[in-house]
Amino acid sequence: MQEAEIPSNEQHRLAHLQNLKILDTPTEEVYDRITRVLCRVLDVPTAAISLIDENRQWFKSIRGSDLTETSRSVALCAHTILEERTLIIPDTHADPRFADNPLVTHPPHIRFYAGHPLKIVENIYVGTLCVYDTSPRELSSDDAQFLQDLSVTVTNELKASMLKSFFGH
Amino acid sequence: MKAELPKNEKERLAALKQLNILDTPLEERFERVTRIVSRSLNVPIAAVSLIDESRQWFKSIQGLSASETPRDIAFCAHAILDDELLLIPDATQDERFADNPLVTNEPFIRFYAGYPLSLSKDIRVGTLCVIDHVPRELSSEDLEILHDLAKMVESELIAVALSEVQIALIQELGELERLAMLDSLTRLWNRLGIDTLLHREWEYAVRKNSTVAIVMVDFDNFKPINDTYGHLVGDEVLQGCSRLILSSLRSSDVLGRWGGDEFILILPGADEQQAIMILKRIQEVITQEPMITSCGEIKISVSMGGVIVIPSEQRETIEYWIGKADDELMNVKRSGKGQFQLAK
Repeated sequence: MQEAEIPSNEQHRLAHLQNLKILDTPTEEVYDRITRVLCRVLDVPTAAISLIDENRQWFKSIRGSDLTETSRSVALCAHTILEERTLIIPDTHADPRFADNPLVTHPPHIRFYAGHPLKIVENIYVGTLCVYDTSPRELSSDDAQFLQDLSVTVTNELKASMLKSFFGH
Repeated sequence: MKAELPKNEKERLAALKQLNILDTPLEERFERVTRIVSRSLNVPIAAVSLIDESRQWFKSIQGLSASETPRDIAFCAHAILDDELLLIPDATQDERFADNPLVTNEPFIRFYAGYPLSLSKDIRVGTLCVIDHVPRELSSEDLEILHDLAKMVESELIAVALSEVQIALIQELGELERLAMLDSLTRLWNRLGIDTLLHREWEYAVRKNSTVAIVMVDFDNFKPINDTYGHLVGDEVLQGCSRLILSSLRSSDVLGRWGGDEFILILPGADEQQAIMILKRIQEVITQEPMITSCGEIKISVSMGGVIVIPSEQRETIEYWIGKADDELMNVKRSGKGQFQLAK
């Protein structure tokens, strides 16, 4: 298994994540709505908003799974935040980086994964909006576009709630 | 049958106008939603409809080439009267719609479902709606996705002050630094904060070769209010006025308190026409909205002076341009107050 590299601006990235004041907060309908729509439109069993903290990935919203967090070392999303593009893994079994990942070999048995980084400001990716399935599949370009669009919706919500608490309006 | 007007129609229209969305070009973020709705509910027509004074205007519509219809035949004009989904399984069986020209003629609406889009309580500006040429029902799953997507359209409509430069600044500051840049009375940026932001907007405009408007804002006869009613009432007026000004701005504009009753406004990327429109709006809202304080209603007016600069073409410092904006404000103050003036 290949662990994801640590981004070169990791300290800066973590400071941004902390500033959002979102980690370990309760579930919120605005975010749950997004994962719900994503599951339905992409026809996948699981969708999540994953935030990559120092040593873990923590889910602000997850649909179709009971996980609340995993260690960062096994997180597929830790790879996604390394650059600004959608990471699509049609079949984890065919990808040497992930074939022996415990999230693949054990429950939740991820076979298909697609995630788009959540960009707060230039070069700062705090997490991902992602989907996974237990059987291999492809992602149509329409669906990829939708995933990307909704990830912008997620970042807008994150920024809006940050601004709201900042100005107390 | 024509829909009644909502009880708060004036307020509702004002809120709709303030979105600055009517007659704007198609935007992918709304197109996407209507595409998804039409695909997931398997209906031929889906739209984001906004109910203007005498028309319904489609911000996005799939399956129909119209960009608007008269309000008096719009199904959506009925849908905005209530907080709930308006569901018409078969329009020919509904006395409100059976003789509607949209039913008896093109596009021959039989089935309609529309969720009202609310900006705030009771302010419903339009709907996310679906239409079919045959009667039908919606499953609970269909209802859920229509509802979820309507909520997303609402969020897109009210996307709050998302100035990228502001967000970058807030994100980079530590807690103590942030506090040092906020004005505790108005909860706006204070002088230090606005100065920092202005420098950033300036650098951004240099890179993008775009404009920045700097406007100094001063309330007329503010001192007598303090003297007559006391400082607490004066503070209430400043708080109220700053809220009103904020409500007139675009999401990228920034307002800060420069000191006393003087405020400063940064309008990134604004050309003369846009700047004038914003300043007019501020003036209108300040003179028209009643300013309610603990000592009753107080009348106030505002004077503004500003400059529009293309930073990439200038050698002078930001401080120089703030000074120029201040000169413009002084001119306005001398020549009769309650006005604004912009230099280029």
